[in-house]
Amino acid sequence: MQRLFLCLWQLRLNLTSLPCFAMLGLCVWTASANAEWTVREIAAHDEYVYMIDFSASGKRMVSAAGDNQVLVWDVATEKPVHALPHDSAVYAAVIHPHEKLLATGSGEGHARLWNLETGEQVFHQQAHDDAIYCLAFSTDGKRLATVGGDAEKGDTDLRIWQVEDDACRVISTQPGHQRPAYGVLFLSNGQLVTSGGDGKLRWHDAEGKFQQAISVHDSDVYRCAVTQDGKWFATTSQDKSIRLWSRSDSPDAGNLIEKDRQTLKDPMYAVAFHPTKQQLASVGDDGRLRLWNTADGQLILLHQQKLSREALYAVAFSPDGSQLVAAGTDGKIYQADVSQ
Amino acid sequence: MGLKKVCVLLLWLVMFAGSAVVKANDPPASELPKPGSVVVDADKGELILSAKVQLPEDKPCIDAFGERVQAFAGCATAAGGDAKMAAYFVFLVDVPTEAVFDGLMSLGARPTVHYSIQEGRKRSGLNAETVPENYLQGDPVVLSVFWKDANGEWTERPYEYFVTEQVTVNDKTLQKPWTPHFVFHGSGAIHKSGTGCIACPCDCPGGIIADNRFPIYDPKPVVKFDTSKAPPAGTQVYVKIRPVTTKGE
Repeated sequence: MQRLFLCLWQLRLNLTSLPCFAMLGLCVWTASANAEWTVREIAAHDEYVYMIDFSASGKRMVSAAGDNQVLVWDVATEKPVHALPHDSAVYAAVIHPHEKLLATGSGEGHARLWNLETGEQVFHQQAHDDAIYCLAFSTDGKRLATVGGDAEKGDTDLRIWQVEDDACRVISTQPGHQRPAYGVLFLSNGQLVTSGGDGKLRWHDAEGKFQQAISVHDSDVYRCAVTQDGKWFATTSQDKSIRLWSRSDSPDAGNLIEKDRQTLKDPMYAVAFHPTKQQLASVGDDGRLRLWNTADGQLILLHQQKLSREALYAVAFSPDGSQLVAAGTDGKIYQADVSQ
Repeated sequence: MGLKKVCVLLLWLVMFAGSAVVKANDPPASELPKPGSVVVDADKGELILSAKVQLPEDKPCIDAFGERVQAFAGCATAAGGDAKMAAYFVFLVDVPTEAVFDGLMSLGARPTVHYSIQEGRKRSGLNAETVPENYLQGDPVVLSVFWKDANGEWTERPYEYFVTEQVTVNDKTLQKPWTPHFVFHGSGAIHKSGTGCIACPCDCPGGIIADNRFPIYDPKPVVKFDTSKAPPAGTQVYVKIRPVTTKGE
């Protein structure tokens, strides 16, 4: 693998530096004969990147980071179009399904809504007593869920918000995990699943009411992911494993069956399902991006590539599945072409 | 008694006394902790922790120069759960970070400036507005690691022994001894960071002891931990921490 030119990963990003950053901050690795992915390396943040999300159309991408910023990217040009300032580290940022809004959650428990097009902040509220580690929009875009905590426990409540054009209001607060919550997602039927430091997934019905807690790992469960049909789950954990779960059609909403697990050398932090193929991407503390085949309910490693010497915390597929994006401690965004 | 006999007697006494005080097989601590416990030796003013050596492959600053926030000595558990940075430590201590904090407090060591990781990020970096409160502060501490070598002899080394620092002067890169200034700021336990870090190679509020030569987080010293200087992976070692406490008015 040959590096064509050095990265400027410590380039301090601000709005005035965006143009030069965009020109200089790119680094391309050529594909090698052993079918390594072509990876573009983008100097994005000065601090850890915790979450990446694509808009449904694939035109925009957002990155949330410990440098108190969220960057909104134009995917076509690979340039940031907005740098959204926060008062503390930003652990979560997700784009509304209709692409008008962006929601962010910060280390001081602040939830914000931003106009995705203009970058204007349209709503801001102290939502949790402690950090917000994750948030998610429902598939219809009418609700937003926020979770978090501190290292020991803190405010781990699940809060569900009614989303309006330029505001949010809490419609339900549910007791959460015994330790901090690191993940939340909506199923297409409106049910919610949260993952937390107590090693469990917690299920809530479409009204937000708690249904069931299921122990899924031997240590903290970080981000989790679900397929669009809601039948497959994947979880990551401090216990160094990735686990694949199927969900039966049983009325018992939390009826999960562990299908496979892969235990690696380091904690695993995030997973993402391919939008159309039966594939799962994962990242973790070892700085490797892995792609797994899940077709037979097993985690079969298709490819892995070391992207960073440091931990990777975020991973996402582009909506068309052609790009796989990962980021983490070094503040860079790694964009792998997985179209082949 | 002739002068010659007196000299011989004195020499014998010195040799005997010397061997009685520093027997090769005596551990460098009056008591060793059982797994899962700490020894607080109030008479000697030191804390002894039980640890195992692990060699964290592919992590920053392990056999290669780099920057890192994670300690080289840290705990397997912290803040009521598994320590987030446990995979980074070379000396993996088997008690929670909070037990190390309590032990140092019981020896009279006191933190004075401590922050959560969130607050630390706000205060990071060296610039024209940097104030003394942008440095983690507390009583100074000295760390060492000791173990039984392959011959059954006890060996003790300062924490600094394992690490080399790299600095750049006029574009020239130089290597120098690692000369951290470790202070007991206690942040990781007070603010429940959950990292497990004990003694960090930079000024990081995730642990409980930091090198505060620089302000919080940046700049970070460029350091390399030489694993060839450490005993093999899996070796039982002990980490000794001696605070220099502040007493009186």
